[in-house]
Amino acid sequence: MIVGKLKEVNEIKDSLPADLESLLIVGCGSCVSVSLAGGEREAESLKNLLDFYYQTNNQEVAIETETIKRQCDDEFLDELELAMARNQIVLSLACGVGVQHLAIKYPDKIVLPGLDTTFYGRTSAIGEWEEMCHGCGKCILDQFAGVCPVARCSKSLLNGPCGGSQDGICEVDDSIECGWQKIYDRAEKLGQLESLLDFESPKDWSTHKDGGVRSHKDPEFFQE
Amino acid sequence: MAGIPEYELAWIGDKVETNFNDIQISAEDLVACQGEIGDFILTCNDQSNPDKIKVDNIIINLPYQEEAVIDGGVSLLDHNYNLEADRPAIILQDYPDLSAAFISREGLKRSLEIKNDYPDKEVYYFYQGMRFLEDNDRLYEEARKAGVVFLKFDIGQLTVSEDLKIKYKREDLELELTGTMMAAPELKATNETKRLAKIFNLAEGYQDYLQLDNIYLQPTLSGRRGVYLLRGSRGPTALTYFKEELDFTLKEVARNLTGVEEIDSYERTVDDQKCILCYTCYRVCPHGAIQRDAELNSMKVMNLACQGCNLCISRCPTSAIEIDYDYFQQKDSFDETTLIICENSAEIAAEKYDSMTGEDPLSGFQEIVVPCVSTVERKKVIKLLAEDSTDIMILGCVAEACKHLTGHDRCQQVVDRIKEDLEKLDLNQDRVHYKRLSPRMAKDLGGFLADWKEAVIQ
Amino acid sequence: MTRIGVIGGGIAGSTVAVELAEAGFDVTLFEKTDEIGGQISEFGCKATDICTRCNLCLVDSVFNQLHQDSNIEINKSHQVIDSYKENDRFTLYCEEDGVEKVYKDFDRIILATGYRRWSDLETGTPEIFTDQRIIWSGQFEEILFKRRDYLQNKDLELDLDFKPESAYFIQCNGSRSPQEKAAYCSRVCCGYNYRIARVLRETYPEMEIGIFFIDMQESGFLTDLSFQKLIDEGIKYFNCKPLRINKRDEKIEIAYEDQEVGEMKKVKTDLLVLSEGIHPGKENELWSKLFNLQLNSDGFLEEINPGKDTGVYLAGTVSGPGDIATTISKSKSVANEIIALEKEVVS
Repeated sequence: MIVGKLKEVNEIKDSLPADLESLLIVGCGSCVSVSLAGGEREAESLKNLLDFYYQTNNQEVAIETETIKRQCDDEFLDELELAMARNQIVLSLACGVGVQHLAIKYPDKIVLPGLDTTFYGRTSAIGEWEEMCHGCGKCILDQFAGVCPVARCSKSLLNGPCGGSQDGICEVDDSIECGWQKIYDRAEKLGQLESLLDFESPKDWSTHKDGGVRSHKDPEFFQE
Repeated sequence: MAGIPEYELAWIGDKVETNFNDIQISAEDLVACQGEIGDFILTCNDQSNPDKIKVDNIIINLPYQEEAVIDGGVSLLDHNYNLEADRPAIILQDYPDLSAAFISREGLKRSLEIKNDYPDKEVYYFYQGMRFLEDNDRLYEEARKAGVVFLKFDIGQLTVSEDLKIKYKREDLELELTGTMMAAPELKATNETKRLAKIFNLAEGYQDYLQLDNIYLQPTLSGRRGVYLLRGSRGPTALTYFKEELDFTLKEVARNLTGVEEIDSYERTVDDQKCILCYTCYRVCPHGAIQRDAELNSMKVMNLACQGCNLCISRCPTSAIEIDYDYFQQKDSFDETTLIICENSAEIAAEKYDSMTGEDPLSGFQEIVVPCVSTVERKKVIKLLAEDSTDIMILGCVAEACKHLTGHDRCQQVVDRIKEDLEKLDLNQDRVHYKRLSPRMAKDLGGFLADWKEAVIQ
Repeated sequence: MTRIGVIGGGIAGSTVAVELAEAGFDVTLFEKTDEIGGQISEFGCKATDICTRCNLCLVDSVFNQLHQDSNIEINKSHQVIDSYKENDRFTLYCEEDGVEKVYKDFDRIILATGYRRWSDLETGTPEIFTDQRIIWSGQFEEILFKRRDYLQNKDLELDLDFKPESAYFIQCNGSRSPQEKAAYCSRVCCGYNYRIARVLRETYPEMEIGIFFIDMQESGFLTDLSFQKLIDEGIKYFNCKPLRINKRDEKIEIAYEDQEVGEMKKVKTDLLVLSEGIHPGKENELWSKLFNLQLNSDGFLEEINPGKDTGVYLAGTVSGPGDIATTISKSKSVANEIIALEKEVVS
């Protein structure tokens, strides 16, 4: 899922206008909740914290929160109509997708992000998430024993590890595990080592970032 | 579930003969465990057992993994051994550090056995401490009379070379010995324990055993009601008192079969519209009491397993779990400093102080009594800080007093986070305090609160 | 309604009473002193920077429940002096402040009258009781019970007229010694003295601390008791019992055999802490007669026939030494047995 991390609360506070009179905090009940970042609990905690801040600084600000299931689909945003009508400034705790969708739906509101959207990841342990996928648009996992060289090798190398891999640790940072070590270990276990010797030609990155902003349509809903 | 076999007790690992309607399942074959005491559903993966089994109680009774402390030689616990002719038998325990107590018993029995079978054989017994256990003292005397030579050593005083030669020097005795070496192995948890910890949703404890740390009021209880731990699932000392532990575990199982009641009477429900199955509640619950509901797409609280700490409620990211009682509603005055106190330690200590001195140490404070300080939610504390101008003191339990295993640590995480956030906004972070105590600290608590009242409340 | 009579208001009796009352039994508890709690009521928490699992946290909630449960009739200052069984029911005769009181119709009796500490036996030389520098572990427990160093950050008050710079512990007093008529191990002393030594070590980092053991025992469910741990914590240990204690002016001199070199050595200490074993209770002989039980060779009580046949059950240290967790578990076990039996009979 999309993993996000709450921004530091002072960064959030600094992004709010100095003459703030009312604020709507919108939480998202999907991916970011799973990454324990932008759900109803965090939205309410943040509201209470900002309430306390403004009260201590003698500034009257009316803060309300609403949490909807997702911020990336229109129908859920409809639930926010009334709250949106009451507020000019909106702090969205969704991922970057949700923040922008909200901005598209409510073009005359100032929509601010409360999260840093980080990566596509899995939950590796309670309270811990790891990046797994870069959304490159052309999956080659079948060739690497189920470990992605694009996302899990720091340099996205496709034909083997670099010289800096040591004891399974990446030379970029010793807290990062070498992705190619993982590919190797898995391939060995599955008896697929030979296939790693097949040359992987340079990736067509046009399906990733280099082809411009991506979108696609499902032909079942669109006819020529 | 119609048609699935039902048992009163399931043994995971080794079975002991009982009068219960029980079944044995090997640890490798067990795949999943759902449900709660009186109603566990086990999923197995093996020909000799059907897929799903319903059981009322579970005992995890694993063997140990033995790790030799010396390369070569024979394990003292191995009953198949061959003695080399014309060479002494050497029994070694407590090397390099103290062995579990029951090993002394095994060693003594072994030494007597050897002397019985081969009266002329020299038997040497090296030890750091001869533990007293049942009739060990009598066995020790018998062994000495039979001519077993007991040699005590201290840490670092015994060396065993690669060719299994023992060098011993003490007082005026200097020995170099080789012979059939029978050394006490180091006992460790088997590889299965990690897997079983996941299956039963138990925290791993000391040295990879399953929740070795003493569980409230009964040592073979795991945090999950109805799941008991014996022998290699519990720790190296579990073998020392195995008979006793087995006895009181089986008696508790018998009692459970007459019916169990809810430990906590409050109603906790999960809003299936808000629940996103992130499994956070499942992972934090110390009692395995919240599980996925097979029919609804949400989690549900198992009322017999739930022991009422509210850790799930305080951690759910979507605030999907509701309880029909608000602990924070207890606060009715905003002029007095708030004391959030745990009923398992601070409340008991306060009452004790009252009965000892006639003074209620809590008077002058606004007290909120909670079942565990893991109930404390970050957003509620912040709200209290905003509504009041007074401080908030949270009093929780030290490790052993905590009925919910990690509850006291979870509260520390919440308090740390609150202070961090306050600091980032340049707000005073010194108004929130967290202390842990034992219910025995009546005098300390009384004095502490009195001092604090003077300092904080003018 | 099954009526249970519990004799003894310590942790064992209270645990059985609470468990049975919760299960719907009618429980009457008799305690000969005027306070519930027994021997452990004034033991102190031994936490340092970590909780050392001394089991004391477990007991207070039991005593609390005892007082809160309205199904339990608590009779303090009641000394049981006689018992009479007729038609499977017991009558207990008690004495309260010299007045005899009779309680009838108990279906089961739980005997949980506990133990005596070695210091209560009043054996040994009189100096042990008068010399300020020699204290019992029990006295140390009292010091810890009154501790104010944990929350209040005050010094640990040692309640002594002097400030000791050294403290030595001697294990196995009144245990493992046929001469002292206690050949058994009391099972708790190595554990609790180790914890007490740790508290001293944490509070007084410069203090010289040592322990004399006869073989370190594995106490109860404490697993990380080892000689290596003592070394790591800077506590000296001697794997032998001292030969002689001499009093020299200000310090006490302990003579022992250094087993590594086979020489007699001496060590001086300001404070000597003696462990106390668990000894049979004073009335064990009386109970054996009243309730048809037997005394084992160490003087503790044992069943001749099982409780389910006689109606008399034993709980706690009346039947042998044990630490708190063991006592609670076994007491719960007695209650569990009675509950399971009851439901079986009814159904």
